[in-house]
Amino acid sequence: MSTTAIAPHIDDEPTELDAPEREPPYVADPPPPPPKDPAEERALVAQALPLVAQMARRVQRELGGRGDVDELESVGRSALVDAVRAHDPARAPLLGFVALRLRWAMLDAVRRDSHVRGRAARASAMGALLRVAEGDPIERPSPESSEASLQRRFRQALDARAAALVVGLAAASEPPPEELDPEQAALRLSARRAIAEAVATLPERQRALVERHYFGDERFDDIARSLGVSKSWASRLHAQAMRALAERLRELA
Amino acid sequence: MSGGRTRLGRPAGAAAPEAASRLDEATARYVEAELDAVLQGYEDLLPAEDLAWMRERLRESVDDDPSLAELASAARPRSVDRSTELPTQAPKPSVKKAERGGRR
Repeated sequence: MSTTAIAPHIDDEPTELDAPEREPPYVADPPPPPPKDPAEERALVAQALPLVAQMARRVQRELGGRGDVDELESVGRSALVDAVRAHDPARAPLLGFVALRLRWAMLDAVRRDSHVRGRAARASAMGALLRVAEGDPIERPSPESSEASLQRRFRQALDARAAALVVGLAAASEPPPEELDPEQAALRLSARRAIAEAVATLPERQRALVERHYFGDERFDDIARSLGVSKSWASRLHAQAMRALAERLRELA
Repeated sequence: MSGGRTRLGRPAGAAAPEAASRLDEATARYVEAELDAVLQGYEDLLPAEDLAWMRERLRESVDDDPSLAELASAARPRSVDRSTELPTQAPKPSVKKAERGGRR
């Protein structure tokens, strides 16, 4: 019998992915960019203008093709100048930055103003998904990582995004959207209860963020401010909360 | 909505998604299998229509995010590739067949 000890692969060792998550290191929001020259601002707005129609079509498709695309374009046009003003060329390319801001503005408007609650729920879920992507940046895979650890990371990323969609959909389902049939409405309500129970087990700040934003309909920025944390850090806490919720919901299932 | 789709929103009979332009075929198949696994946890919690919608959004989120797409590509089990390869030589006869042949 061989007595050669087999050293465990580094990825078989407990990693920080397996450990209970601590709060992420604090991240301050970047300072606002210096004001732009009015002529430069007009030129940038003109350059980014085609994004309004593109994003309106995209958001409409993401919400299941429901609703009026003209309303989304109108929201986008109102948000365009602010998006250009907030853009810092040292931090991100203009068009990617503006596209994301327009998408946020359109989803937020649908979430707040839509008379179709199913559409509002989907907008809330999409907002949650974008926020996880923002707060959970994916590090480039290292060539030393094993297949198992890469698969674990990918599954965790998908889990957090799926949990965000579920929280967004279910939290906005009280009362259930009128377009759902009774069976679907009952499922959404039981999902809402299951998620509310799982949210109640989160650490205090994560729970406050999720409860107040999704169940209490408060703006994310306002909650971050009232908790005394930067929006960037709140986004990281939010992503962490979604990872934890994914685990809790899996245990419930 | 659910016609032609499985309960988890996967297009029936389709191995790869219709719109996964950033992903190669093998990675797209891996992503679909991962989506099955992730969405299965919500099968008793959400209507089929929501699950199908979630699948599309999650698939798009992988396709839209270059870092996530790169992670998916790196995480894809390499052995999966073999399933699409054509055999380059005739398979060896099984032991039982060889034994039967030997007895004749």
